[in-house]
Amino acid sequence: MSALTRGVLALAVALAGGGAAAVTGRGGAPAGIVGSPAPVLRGSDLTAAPFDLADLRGQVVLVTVWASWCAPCRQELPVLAAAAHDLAPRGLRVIGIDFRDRAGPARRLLRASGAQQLRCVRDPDGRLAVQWGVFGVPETFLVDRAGRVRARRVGAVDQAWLHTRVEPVLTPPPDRPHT
Amino acid sequence: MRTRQIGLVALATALVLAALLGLHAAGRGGDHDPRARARMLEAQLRCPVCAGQSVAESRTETAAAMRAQVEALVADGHRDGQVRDWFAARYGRTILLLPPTRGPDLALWLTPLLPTLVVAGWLVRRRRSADQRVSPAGRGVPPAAP
Repeated sequence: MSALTRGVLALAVALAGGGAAAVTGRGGAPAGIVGSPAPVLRGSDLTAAPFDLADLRGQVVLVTVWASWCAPCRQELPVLAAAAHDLAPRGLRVIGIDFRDRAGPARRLLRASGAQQLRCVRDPDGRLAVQWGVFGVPETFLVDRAGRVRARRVGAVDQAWLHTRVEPVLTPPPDRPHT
Repeated sequence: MRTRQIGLVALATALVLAALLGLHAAGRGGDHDPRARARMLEAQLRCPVCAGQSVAESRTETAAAMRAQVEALVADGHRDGQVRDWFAARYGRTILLLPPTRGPDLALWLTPLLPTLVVAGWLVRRRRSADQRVSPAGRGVPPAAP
């Protein structure tokens, strides 16, 4: 085998290896923002009051992206409202991003779902949600007390996800009295 | 014969280089109109919830939000590469329809060179074999006098 042939073969192997790595994404950026600091979430809520996620540093926050035109969000909102109520004593806050929506229908759905206490940031052009790398709605991110994204839920949040992913990072529940 | 082979190799190399330069220019853009730049960048981003559509083509709400973000980044003065990196950091590199011209992705750009090198190597080897068959010992020696 000549030196030229060996050179061409070596180049072919190198290119094939590099190409495979590029296609499979090996060594590349992780898909999504899990493990990274939470993106900026600053704006006005559905009552036009200013909101900044940075003010909640030190608490566990569920950031849920939803819209009144999204059918699965209608099933998810009561679950999130219950979690916001039940797990608040253990340090959980639930914040919504109202994605490409109008304030009127959004407020009506929150009331109909019993989730009117849920604080939601308006995102009429969707740019806030894109900061979080959102694929669609509903989508939910768990932000820990240090302000890092710990988990991501694509699709509606359910009790199982809350139990396995959210509750372990909350303050443990107080011991129940022995009977 | 030799001149023809060299010409073929040169032509093939020129074609591959032209294709690479064209692809590279397509990836870099070069249009200074912000709206045109935004359209070009949107065409280079994959819609994350569609099958085989770019952000520019998709009618989904997610793609519309991504288009709004591209326009905002361009208006803020971000360069083309910075806009692509911004999305890759949030959605992963698979969001890019054109692979970057660095890192492992560089191999995807260089792969078209491989057939040219293979053909060039084959032609050179063939030429050498032909030269060896033409009595190498007698080359350059004048024929003996009768």
